Amino acid sequence: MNKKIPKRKMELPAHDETYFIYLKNPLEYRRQLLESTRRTIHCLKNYQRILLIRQKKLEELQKLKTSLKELLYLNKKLNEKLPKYDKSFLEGMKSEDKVKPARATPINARKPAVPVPHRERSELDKLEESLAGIEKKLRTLQ
Amino acid sequence: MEKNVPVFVKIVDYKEVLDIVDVLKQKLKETTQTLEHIRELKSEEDKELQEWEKSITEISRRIAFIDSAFFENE
Repeated sequence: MNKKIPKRKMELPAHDETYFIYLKNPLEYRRQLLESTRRTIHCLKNYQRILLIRQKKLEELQKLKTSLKELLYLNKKLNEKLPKYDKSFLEGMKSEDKVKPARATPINARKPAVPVPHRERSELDKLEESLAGIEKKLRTLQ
Repeated sequence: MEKNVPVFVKIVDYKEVLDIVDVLKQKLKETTQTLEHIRELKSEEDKELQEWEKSITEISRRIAFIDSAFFENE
């Protein structure tokens, strides 16, 4: 909003009870003032509406967060259902490799999880960690 | 890792996978709807803010008129 109320040009005289100012069109001033009041009340009503909208938006965002968590869980479940290696099988493979010539590696070899030092992790840390894991897996698929 | 090798999934797991995919699809649909609702609320909020701005501009104009009329009176 660029429009500013201009500065007054005239200085007010010292307080004097006998001083009056003639108003040319008092009805017009009253009208303008009432319109301003009406608009101000309208703004306050508007404010209440905005508060309600924001409240609804927060609720929807919470719903979205829950849905995303559920999606993450379902993705994980789906990933679990896909065939994967047995750790002992992998170890057995390694010992056999020493004696026998190299064999084709199984299709969906997964690296054993790197032990993470125990510390307090925030939600963001956890998400970043799982994101890094997924990106790593994606790189191996390329 | 060998690529493009056929993968065999147990039939029991396969059924579960299908179920999970169905639930996933349903969840995705719900999420899309929620997002759409958020977008609608956002545009509603923007509209209210615009209305607010318009009102404030109008009030400023009216007050400026009254102010000038009072203080620039001859």
